[in-house]
Amino acid sequence: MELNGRNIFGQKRLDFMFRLACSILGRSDEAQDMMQDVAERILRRQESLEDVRNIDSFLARAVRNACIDRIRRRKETTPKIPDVPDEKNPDRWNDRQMVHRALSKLPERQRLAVHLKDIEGYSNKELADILETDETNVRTILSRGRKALREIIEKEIGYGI
Amino acid sequence: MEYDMNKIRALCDRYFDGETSAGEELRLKEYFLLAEDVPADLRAVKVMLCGMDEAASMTYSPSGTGQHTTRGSVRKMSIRRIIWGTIAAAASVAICITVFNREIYGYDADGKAITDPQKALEGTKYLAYLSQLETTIDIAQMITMEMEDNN
Repeated sequence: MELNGRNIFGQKRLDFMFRLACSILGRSDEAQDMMQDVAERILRRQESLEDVRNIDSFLARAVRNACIDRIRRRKETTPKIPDVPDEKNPDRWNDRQMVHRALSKLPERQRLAVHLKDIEGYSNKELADILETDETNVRTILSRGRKALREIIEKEIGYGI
Repeated sequence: MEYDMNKIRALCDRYFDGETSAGEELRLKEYFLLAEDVPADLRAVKVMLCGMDEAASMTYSPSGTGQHTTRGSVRKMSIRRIIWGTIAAAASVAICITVFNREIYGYDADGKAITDPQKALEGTKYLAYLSQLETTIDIAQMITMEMEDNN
């Protein structure tokens, strides 16, 4: 993948970073605010970006770090303002909100694996590169993440009660 | 379209074991996206797959997602384009400089090179100020339009 200053923040990558922030934070309004933090972090990086081996992995890490800081600050300062529902398709909007909330509760590697595979459409091989593991382990992480996600959603929608 | 529920359940099991191929995942997604009513034990799977499909269609826009173009927002859009176009150009220059030359981080208002990373970082704060400025412009335009409508 070509990496240079002109294309590091192309629209596709901004979308990728935004969606990942939604999955980590569980809220799209906070993810929107947080994009500025990520841009600052990347600009703050003093060494050359040319030695970044995997740009998606690098951006995922930058988003993750900014989100973790955001979550720490959230406890002290961020008021709970609900996201605005999409009136065009409220059912789908609810489903998306539930998925984001559930994803934000998963352990980090499981969340990243499920997000990259099921939302971004990455292959197991690409996941193995980003997670720095092999494809067998990717399947295990994915399996645990998907099952945990289903369990959280089942509890939320009241299945079996 | 009729679906064999035994096959769907078998696919679900494989999906949750992380064993499905891309084609199988597509078939599973197709079923849950189209099915209006699913068995109770598969309801969470429908929420999962529909929610993920919806999440995959989200895009980032500096002024927020889900913008609608109405009479008022047409005028706002042109100002937004100018503001964000300026920001994008400035950010591209700053990133290019960061990537290709470690010592120059940007240029100040006088056109002099900024070699101090801390000083360059302060420049990014202008993005936030510009965002606030944009909000102020939006409010001013709304008031102007309301006054025009009243007249």
